[in-house]
This record gives sequence, structure tokens and C-alpha cells, in this order.
Amino acid sequence: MLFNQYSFWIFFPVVIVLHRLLPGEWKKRMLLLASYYFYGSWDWRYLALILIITLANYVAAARIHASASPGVRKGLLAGAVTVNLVILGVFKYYGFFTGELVELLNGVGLHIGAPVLKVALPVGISFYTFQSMSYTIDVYKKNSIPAESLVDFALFVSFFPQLVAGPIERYNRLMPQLAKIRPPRSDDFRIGLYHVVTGLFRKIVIADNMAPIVDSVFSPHNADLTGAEVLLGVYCFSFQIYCDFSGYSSIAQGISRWMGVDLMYNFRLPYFSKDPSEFWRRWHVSLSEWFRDYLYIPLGGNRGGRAATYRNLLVTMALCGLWHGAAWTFVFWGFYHGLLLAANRALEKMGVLRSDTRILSAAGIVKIIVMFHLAALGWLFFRAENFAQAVDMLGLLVFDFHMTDYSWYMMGMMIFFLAPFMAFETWLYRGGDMERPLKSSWIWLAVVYIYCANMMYFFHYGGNVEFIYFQF
Amino acid sequence: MSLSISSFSSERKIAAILALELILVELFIFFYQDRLSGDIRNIKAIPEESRRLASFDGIKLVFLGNSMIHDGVDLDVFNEEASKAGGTRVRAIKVNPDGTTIAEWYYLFKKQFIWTGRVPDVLVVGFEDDYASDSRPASAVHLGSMDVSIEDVPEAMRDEVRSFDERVKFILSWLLLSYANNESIHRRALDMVVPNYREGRLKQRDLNEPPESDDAPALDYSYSRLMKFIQVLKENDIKMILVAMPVKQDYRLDDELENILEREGITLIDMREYNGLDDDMFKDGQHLNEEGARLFTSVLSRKLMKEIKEKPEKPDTR
Repeated sequence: MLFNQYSFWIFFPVVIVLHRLLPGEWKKRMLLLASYYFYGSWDWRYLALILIITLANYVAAARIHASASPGVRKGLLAGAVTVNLVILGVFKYYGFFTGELVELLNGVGLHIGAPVLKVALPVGISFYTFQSMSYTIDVYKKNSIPAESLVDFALFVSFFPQLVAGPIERYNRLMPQLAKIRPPRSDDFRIGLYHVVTGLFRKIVIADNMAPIVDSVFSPHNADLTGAEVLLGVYCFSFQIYCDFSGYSSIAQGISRWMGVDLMYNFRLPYFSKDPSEFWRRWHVSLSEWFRDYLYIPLGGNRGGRAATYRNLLVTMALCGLWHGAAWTFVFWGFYHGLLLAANRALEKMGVLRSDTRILSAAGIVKIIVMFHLAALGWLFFRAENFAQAVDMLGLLVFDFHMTDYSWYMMGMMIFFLAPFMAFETWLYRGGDMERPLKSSWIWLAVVYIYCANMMYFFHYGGNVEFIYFQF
Repeated sequence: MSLSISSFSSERKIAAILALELILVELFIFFYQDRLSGDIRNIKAIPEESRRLASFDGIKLVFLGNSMIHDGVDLDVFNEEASKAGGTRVRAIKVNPDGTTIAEWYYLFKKQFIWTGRVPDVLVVGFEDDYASDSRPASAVHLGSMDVSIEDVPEAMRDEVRSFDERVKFILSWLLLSYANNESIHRRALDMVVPNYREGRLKQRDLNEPPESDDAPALDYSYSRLMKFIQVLKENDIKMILVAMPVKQDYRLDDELENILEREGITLIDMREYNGLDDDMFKDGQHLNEEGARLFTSVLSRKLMKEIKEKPEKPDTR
């Protein structure tokens, strides 16, 4: 069941009606059952994974909290983290690592086979394992107290709007809202609708229409690709992945709001970033904060001098890349962003780069364009089937750059779909307010909604395109 | 002018504007649907053409398929070849909605020819690759908008549009002209503003369909739709002829299809590799240009006339 399918929009009104009718505790139980039904609609067998992760973290956190012995506490934390990482490792990384190991051993003359495990990647496994782990770590660090009931905690792990693609919410932010669901407020409908409409638009209109163009450019059968087509294909993918993922997060935010739960903004106009550091404060905010708090800072953060800081940045970002998928291209993408962050930090220390807080100055616009292209270069590796393809494409960009009929077609499609959207994002950026249409004259809101509704009705892509981040 | 964020009077106004817009668009499409695309014009012309065909005294023939039949069969050439063949007169029409396969052809044929009682004598179905098999999903929008008559709705719901989402699409396209035609509107608008839109779309489609490799697994298709179709045609005494259409890239026919056709006594005219057709007689990978269509139709017509002459006369069904 996907947010952009009609079946979800039958499921959700039933949930919202029950949500309004049922009293407090029953409301939570109903939301938990609805969340399990939502997840089970992909494959009910994977509900077992959520149950194991829920129980492991719930029990471990309760014991950690109850124990005064540092050794016991540490052992329980290690046990809980191991359960999470083993489940994630088996389902997401087993094939990758065994494949690489076998290849390595074959390379040195040791011909061995590895047991093959053919299982589909459970939807959203990276999201809910990370969200659950953060809870246990927070309890261990005494930043949080354990959940009062198993139902509350189970709902925190599986709350359906953000279960399969985030945002990865922190226990201290989300749990109080779920434990005691607030009564509806008069602005809930309006704000929720804004997030749902703009999120659906980003997914259905922008991301889905960019998808077949991107697929054609990255197709291994595309023998007469040119540099111009690569460049436009990478631009298209930059917007496909942004609108796909931010669209999902926005819809999740909207439907949660209708249930009285405020989810965080996971994307804050990331392509208006002026440097890599700002990019990660705007792109997939919940994940970058997770890696900052649970990996970068424990590694030492920026407390151990320059070399250690750069090392910590590179390690953190390479693992962030690996989180996205079991392939070296993802690791490289993360490492590349680590390098950008380290270089940015070094240039700032040297006084070459200065922080620019002006909204749209000439220098700021140049920085935004440069940062967008640096991010786009990373997307080339992220989307490529393998390194060889990425390197070939880079070669075409440099040595065979010329416009073709197909590249004019790609450019026309980009302008048609992206120009109004970017104008809208620029307007939001200049206003410094993600909810600017709601605070402007109703005419502006009408322009936004009527445009979105018409584009979704007449210009949705006919094929089926799943949300990209479900695979992570 | 600024409104309180908690007031949703703006949303009510916007909803009213959108509702009004939908009504106006529905009315516009109702009156000007023909101008949206040649495909819609062709589909809307089917009832009139079938009526005229039904009033014809000789052998009534329908070419059924998709854009490959549209581009590949030249009715003038067919008529010329048919008249050269002498004997019983033959008249043909083409029914060829874009982007359709066997599922849509089955329901469309029933709606336009069986339920109306305008039964032809011969049905020539042009297909390529797996288009006659069950492997391609039927389009809920196509079925809802043009193909399924009210009598066949339960059958279509049971056999073709099974998921909830597909059923919603089916019903919406049955109810709303704007929904049923939004792909035509979409394409027409993009064709006006995007350079090389048609060629770009075709190239995009070709690139996103992996080429068939020699080591591809053996074909393993089922043919329940074709079997239903054959049954309906037999019940109505209509001779069916299948034509494997020529395309640039070779494709295979699987044994199961040939077994079914042999068992059911259906003629297959294999035009996949007609040597007279050069690559420059194709507009793209699949569709013949005018020169290709003339050559293809003249060859096909001669083969068809041999088959048709074996068809016994049957009572007038008007």
C-alpha cells in the first residue's frame, strides 16, 4: 500500500474516523493495528521482523534503565544493537558482503562458495531499525526514560506514516506525542492538507515523470549516449530523488498532522544550500542528525583536531552511504560527501569560504549553483549501475558534449515539469518559510493548489513507479 | 488579505473552483473530444463504420490491433488487391486503438460487434511478440473508457482489473471523460511545448525496454484471453486469422501459441520476416511508414484472400 495509491486513501479515512471516535488507549491500539496492517500489506511475514526489533529494544531498554551496573548496561546495549544490526545485515547486506568476500578469496586463489540467501529486502528496514536503536542508545545514555508500555513503544517503532521511509524520528520527540495523543487543533486540517497536496505533487508529477527519462539515460543498452544527455539525465535524477523522497516525507507529515502528530521536516529546500554542511542540514535531516549524534560525535566529532575530524567525517559519511544500499557506488557516494564536508571545513578554517546568511545575493546564487552541481555529481555515482558506468558517463560529459534531438526533448520535459516547481521553491526560500502559502493571500494558495491538482490529474505518469527510498 | 492559518475558508473556495473547472473540462471534452487525438477520432468512428460494414453484402472483414495495424494496413491497397482477386466482394475496416493488446481487443470487439449484432465474417488480428498472450496487463483506463460494454463489466472486473486501485481507475475512466482522456490531453500538451516530444518518447520507451537476448529464458506464456476470444468468435461463426506483424527486431512465437492455433483451427499468417521490407520502411522500431504499409498490405492481402475464399457464406446478421 503506497501513499499514491487509491487503496491507501480508503484505508486512511477509516483510520482517521476511528482515531476521532476512539478514546485514548484504544486510539493507540487501533493505530498500532493499522500500522501492522499497513506494513503487512507488502508482505505479512516481515511483521515478524518488526516484532523482534520491538521486543528486543523494549526489553533491553527497560533492563538498562533498571540496572545500576555499568557492565550490565553496556552488555545489554551491545546485545540490543547487535540484534538490530544482525537483522539489518542479514536482510540488506548479506549478499553484498559474502559476494565481495568470495570474490576476494577467489582473487587470491581460494575458490570457495558462500551460502546463497535469496530474500526480498523488507520495506523500510533501515528506517525502523535505526529509529529503534536510537531509543535504546538514548536510554543507555540516560537521555530518555523507557516507554511506559509495550503498546506505546510498538507504536513508536511502527507508526505507519513514517514506518517505511522516515523521517527517522527521535524517541523524545515522537513518543510523547504518541503516548498522549493531543486533541485535534483547528489548524491541523489546513496544514496537513498543504503537506499532502504538495507531497503528492512532488511524487506523482515530478519524480514519476523524471523516472523514465533517468532510466533511459542510465540504461545499459543506451549505446549512443552523449555528454549533454548525461548532464540532463543527472539533473533529472537529482530532482527525481529529491521529489520522490521529500514527497513521501511531506505526505507522512501531512497525514500525521491530521492525527495530531507533528513529524519533523525531513527536507528543507536542499538545492538552495550554499555549501556541503548546509546541504546536510537540509537534505534527509533526520538521517544526517542520526549519524551526527550516534556515530560522528561518539567517534570524537571535531574534538580531536583537524585530522581526526576529517577522518570522522569520512567514516561517518561512508557508512551513511552504505546505509543507502549494499553497493560500492553508495559507499563511494557517502565518502565523496565526506570529502566535500572535510574540504568545506578546511576552506572555512583557512578563511577562503565565509558563511553567507543573505537569502539571495549574487555570490550566494553562485554558491547555490556550485553546490547543486557538486550534489549532482554525487548523484551520478549514486544512480549508476556500477563504477564503470559512472566513469564512462563522466568521460562523455568531458569529451563528447553535444546536444542531440533526445537531449532537447529531455530539456523540454525538465523545463515543463521543473520550472514552475523551482519557482515555487525559490518563493518559499525567499520567504524563509516552508508554509508560506498558508500565510499568504488565499489567491497564492489557490494558484498552488489548482496548479498541483491539475498537474496531478492530467500530467501524472501512467506507469507504476515505487518510492525510491523504500529500497533503503 | 492575510488569513488565519486555522481558517480553511480558502480551501473551500479552492475546492469549489476545482469542481467548477472539472465540470467545464468535462463539457469541453464532451464536445471537442475528437480534436484531442487521431486515436480518439478513430475509436469514436467505430460504431458508424461497423454500421456501414454490417450493411455490406459481401464478405465483411475487420482488422483489429493497435497502432501497428493503424500504420501497417493500408485499406486502399487492400481493397485494390481484394478486387483483383475477383469472386465475392470484400469490404474491410480497421479498429486499432493505440497501446492496446489482446485484452482490450477482446472487450472492444465484443462491445462494438457482438453486442451490437454487427457481426463481421472475418476478423484479422495483428500482433507482435507477446501481445496475444496474457503476459501484458490490460489497461484499466483503456478498458473503462472505451472497451468494455456494460454486459462485460463483471467479466472484466473478474479477469482483468483485479486490484482495488485498478478498479478505481476503471470506474473513474468509465465515469469521467477527463480522466479517460487525460493521457491524450497530457501528450497533446507536451507535444506542443516539448521539442521532439514524439521521437523522444519513442526513444525513451525503446531504451527502457531491454532488448531480447539469445540466452533469454524460453517463452512461457498463457493464453486464456485468446481462448476466450476464440470461443466468442466460434459462437458467432466468425473466422479468425492471426497475423504476426513485422517489426525491426526479430521476436519469437512460442510453441503454446502455435499449438492453440492448430488445435482451434485458426490460421496464423507469419509476416515477421517478410524479406521485401527494409529497415527504412519503418518509422521507428515497430511501425511501418507509408511505403512499408503499401508493400506489407499488398502481400498480406493476397495471403488473406486465399484464406477468405475458403469461408462459406452465412446468413445476413443485420
